[in-house]
Amino acid sequence: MVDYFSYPIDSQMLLRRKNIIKKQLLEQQKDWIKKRIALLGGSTTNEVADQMQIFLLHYGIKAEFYQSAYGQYWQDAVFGTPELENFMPDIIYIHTSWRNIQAFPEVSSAKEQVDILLSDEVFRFKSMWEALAHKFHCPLIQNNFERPDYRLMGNRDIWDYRGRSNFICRLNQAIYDYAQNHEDFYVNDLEYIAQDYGVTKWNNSLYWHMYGYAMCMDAIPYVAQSVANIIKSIYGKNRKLLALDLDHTLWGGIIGDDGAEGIELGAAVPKGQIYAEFQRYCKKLKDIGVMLAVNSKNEMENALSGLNHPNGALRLKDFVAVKANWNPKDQNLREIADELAMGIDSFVFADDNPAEREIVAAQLPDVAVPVLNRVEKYIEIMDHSGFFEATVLSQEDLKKTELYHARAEASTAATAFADYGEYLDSLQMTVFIDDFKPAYIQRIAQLTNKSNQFNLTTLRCTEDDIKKMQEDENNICLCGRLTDKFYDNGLVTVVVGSVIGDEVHVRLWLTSCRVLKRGLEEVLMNVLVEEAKKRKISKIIGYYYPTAKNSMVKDFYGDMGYTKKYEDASGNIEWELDLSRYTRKRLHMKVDNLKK
Amino acid sequence: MDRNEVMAVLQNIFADVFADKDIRLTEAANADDIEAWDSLTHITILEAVQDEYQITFDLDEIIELNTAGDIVDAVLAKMG
Repeated sequence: MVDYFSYPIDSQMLLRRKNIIKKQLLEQQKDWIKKRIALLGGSTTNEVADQMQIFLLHYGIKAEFYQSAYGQYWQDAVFGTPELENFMPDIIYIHTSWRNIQAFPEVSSAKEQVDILLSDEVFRFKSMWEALAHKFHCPLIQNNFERPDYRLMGNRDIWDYRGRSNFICRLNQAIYDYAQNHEDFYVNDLEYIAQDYGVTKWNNSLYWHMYGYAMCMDAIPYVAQSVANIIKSIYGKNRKLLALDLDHTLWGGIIGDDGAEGIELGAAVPKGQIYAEFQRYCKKLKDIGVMLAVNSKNEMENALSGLNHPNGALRLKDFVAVKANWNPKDQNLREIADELAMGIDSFVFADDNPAEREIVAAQLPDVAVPVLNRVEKYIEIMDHSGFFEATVLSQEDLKKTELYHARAEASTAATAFADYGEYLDSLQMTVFIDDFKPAYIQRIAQLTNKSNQFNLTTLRCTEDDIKKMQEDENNICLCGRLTDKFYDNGLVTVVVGSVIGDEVHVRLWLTSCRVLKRGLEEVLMNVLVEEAKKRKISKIIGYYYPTAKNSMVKDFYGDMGYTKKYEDASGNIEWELDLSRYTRKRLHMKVDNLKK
Repeated sequence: MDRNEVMAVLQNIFADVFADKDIRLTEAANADDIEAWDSLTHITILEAVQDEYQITFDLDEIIELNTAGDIVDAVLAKMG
């Protein structure tokens, strides 16, 4: 199903296709929460109800609506109607706007007169809330008031007691005071929604005068989403855990390659500042009871060094679970859910990499996967998604992370991944294999100097070294460019073997960690074996030279079917493959060999 | 842009709004002919048309839009 609900929501399509969307949502097999919602409006409410309905279905709540007759919100509440009484609402939403304020100050008004006007209006609303609370004993959601269509006195309108804007501010403050002191009373922040949408567009008066809508049609889905967020939060459908990727999500750069000193985090560069700000935002989420976890393809050691970075706000103790490994990320999420005994439908997964987002979204449709595509937008996207609407703030919320630390330690879990091969196929990858053409030289040299993790020999080369390798006929030089349905990842893997007698000695084998676990190694191994066979070679000899960062490829050759020939005291290993015994690897991408 | 093109787009919009792929629209069709075409869906249809062509109908124009043909006329007038 098309995703209409992730930020930024597709307001136009939500309006146009609401009936189709509703049908599709209702086809889902779900344990629906059923609720009756009374919508008491000071303007036309039909579209508000329709949009609320689909947002709530999206949250797993099947809602039935009562709508007051046009503009009858106050009469319905205070005097009641038999229909409303029979309806027995579970929740009441009072959808009013500045259009429903009975009287505004005049420029000629005295301060005391305006005070009386204000207290009259507050009284009118309070009497309605109290009548409803008394009759129905259910949660009540009240819009605050948004800024009106004009400012008679210009800038003065907001601070002078005679201004409509000022009057609205004071009225809102009275609503907030009431909310502070009453349980089961929630404010829908219409003022913010209107500002975020754009007050002028919002107040397009055509919609009021033609149709009786308090705001333009296009703004209504945003209102509905906001109310639906409050309602799903009340019924326990908030998200509870945010699982964060590390590289390019919590800091710039790749810690496995760049080292803790090389990542972008902190005030030195603009990008580093933004990542630091995002870390501070994530840390604040803990204050409202959100739990944090790490879900990253990394060596644990590297992950920890990143979380100790002096410019970072997040520390190891801020996380209830840390998965820094090379397992599929959906598998990690499943394990976290098992270890913490939490529903995976309370998880949000934050990752800059579209391929990672896609696999999680496909394998775990209940996990929310916001489209974090630009670091400067991370906070905006998270904030507007309404995952963690805090209708209730409890003491437990503040201590949640500690509680879960204990639970996580007590539990162990193992999950098998359903079908990784199918995921790789879905990426529609093509690898272009070539030798070292002049256009690639610079990039190849750069890769040999930057890649640390998937790098068997960590042989650093200059551009000149690379040119010489290509010119020497005794060398088999291979490089690969990988494309998938999201990106052209560019040149990402390099292999050099030198022929000595009837053996090939692999001097260099590296893959950029952007594309680890994509099955590129298998492709290169097949190609290397083909090239070797052309030259009547009988054996390939591979080398592993350990460094602080390349432990992930310690057994690379062993996994590829080589046998260990020799290992010295410092961990240098020599591997051997008898070509007659090589079985071609199964591939999950198209191979385009440009070398031929 | 000709009438048929706009009619085809309008047909798609109606199919979306009424969640009915098989809906057949004629130029003369109005809210009396199509049962679900009430004043509320009328607004949704006009919004979708304006979004689709990135145009804005004035108050005066909206008042005159009753049949599918009226909507096509209005689009053609705006798009030139």
